[in-house]
Amino acid sequence: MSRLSTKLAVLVAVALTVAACGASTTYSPVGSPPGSQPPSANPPGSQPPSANPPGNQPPSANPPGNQPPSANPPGNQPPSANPPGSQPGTAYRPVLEPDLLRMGASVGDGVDGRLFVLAPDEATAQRVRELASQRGVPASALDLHVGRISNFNLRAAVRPVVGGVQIENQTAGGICTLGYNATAPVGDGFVTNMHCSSTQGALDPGDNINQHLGAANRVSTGLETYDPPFFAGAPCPAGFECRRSDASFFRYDAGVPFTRGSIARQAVFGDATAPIVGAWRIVSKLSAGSVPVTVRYIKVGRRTGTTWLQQVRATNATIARGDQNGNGTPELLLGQLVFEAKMLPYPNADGTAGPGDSGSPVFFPIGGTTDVVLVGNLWGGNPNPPLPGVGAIQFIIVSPIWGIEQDFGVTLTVTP
Amino acid sequence: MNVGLSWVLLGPAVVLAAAAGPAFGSETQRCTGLALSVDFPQAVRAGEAVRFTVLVRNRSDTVCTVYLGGRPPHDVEVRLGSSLVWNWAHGRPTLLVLDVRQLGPGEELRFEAVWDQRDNRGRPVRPGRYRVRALVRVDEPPQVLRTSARTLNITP
Repeated sequence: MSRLSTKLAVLVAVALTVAACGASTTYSPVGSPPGSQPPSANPPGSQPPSANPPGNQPPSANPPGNQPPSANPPGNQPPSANPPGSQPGTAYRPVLEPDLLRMGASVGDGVDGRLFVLAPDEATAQRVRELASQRGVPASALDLHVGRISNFNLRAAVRPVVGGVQIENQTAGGICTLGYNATAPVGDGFVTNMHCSSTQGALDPGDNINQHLGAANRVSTGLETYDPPFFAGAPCPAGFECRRSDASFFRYDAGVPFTRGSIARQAVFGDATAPIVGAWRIVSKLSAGSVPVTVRYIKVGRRTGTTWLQQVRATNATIARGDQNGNGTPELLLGQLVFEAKMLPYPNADGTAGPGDSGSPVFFPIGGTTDVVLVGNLWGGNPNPPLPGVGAIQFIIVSPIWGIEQDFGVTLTVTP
Repeated sequence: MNVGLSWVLLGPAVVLAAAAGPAFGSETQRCTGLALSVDFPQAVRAGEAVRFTVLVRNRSDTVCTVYLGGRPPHDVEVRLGSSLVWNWAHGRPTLLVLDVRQLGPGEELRFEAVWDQRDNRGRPVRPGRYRVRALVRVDEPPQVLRTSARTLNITP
């Protein structure tokens, strides 16, 4: 399988060059020889925030199919910065889409409210500009890129490695999502869930982690560095063992290119296979006690892609999750964040989160930009009610970054 | 005494692993000949814990890969008439990992669930004839395997 996908990727693999508003972003193909793509060479995070100017954040940023409009209470909407009388770029989609598709371009509702257009070459891009001009569509309404669709989605081998992409624990046989890159006192690595390692609450020196599938895409060989044991005693209630996060830190193997501070930014929401077109840039970490309730939170994961979370339902939650590590003592996770999540009953899912999204980074954008505040890692939920209507309000659980750092006993640097 | 097995089969198509396919760098078929069953006592006394064993078996004659939809991937439902009385997964968070397991011919995955004869609100249930069904979520693509319902008799 891995050979097959590698072969496919090589076929498409002319590095995808995305020219966006003057910025250039290059994704290297699967199988790039180490060192061929230095981390600093146009990493996804290099796209300037100005590519998504404030003011392009439309009410329709919650795309159809992701969450029903009624699920978003008015008070929970991000403030719209659209100038009075202006239209979001996505409103022009019906005007342009048929012709754009005939030109061989791809079209989507951009997450920043502009109309996302991916033209296969510069000549087509120029025709797109001319068509838009003829039809009265302002240039600022378009998020126009030049590039060919490739396998560079969340499930591909993405180099440099960024947050939000698939990882595989080849040793334990599990697929999860890489949360975000970080630098700890022990070195550079990434944070994901501890249940993505072989043993929860213990280091697994035998764990080999591949980004995408197969050993050819190995990023960490026996380098789980932080996965501290569960503890007993205050503040952990008697009869339980506790952690403050479902998190684990894996150091990178030498030579693995990665971009700290970057989380994969897709062209559209709700589709894990949608192309990666840039990066969300982590500019800060959320602090304990300052969890905002008037912003919209996002997660990026390999199962359901980029999705909005609904409102924060509880903070500082103690989550009972049975005896997941099988040692006979039930576990509690302290200080967790609980979000409402509107999910369709499994297996129709493709809702807010699903199996394989474990470890997903959770964050919120600042205004209408791609600069984001890191919140933590998604690890669980109740996405599978046994009956329609049962558990109609569903939840997903997030370990906050401060709990992760407290568990690890270190401060993580997660910004570029 | 244990009751017989109930079978629910996955669809007949054989799907070769694609880009998001199996782990371990090998070309392995997804499991399509899976059989789901649940084993439990036919009758128990009121208040006695009931143990359910859920089995997922590869009925094919080849090694295949199964993707389990979350951890734990299974549930057991107990109903009285059409009303859900209890289900094992009630109130349990699901870890959103996609566990990947390879099954040889005839090989089984086994999941356990124990019922203390209380309903989902924690109240003891009355003696009677209950219907039991198990389900297991698999993924890539997402699908729910279900057994048919069978009777569990709780005696006074």
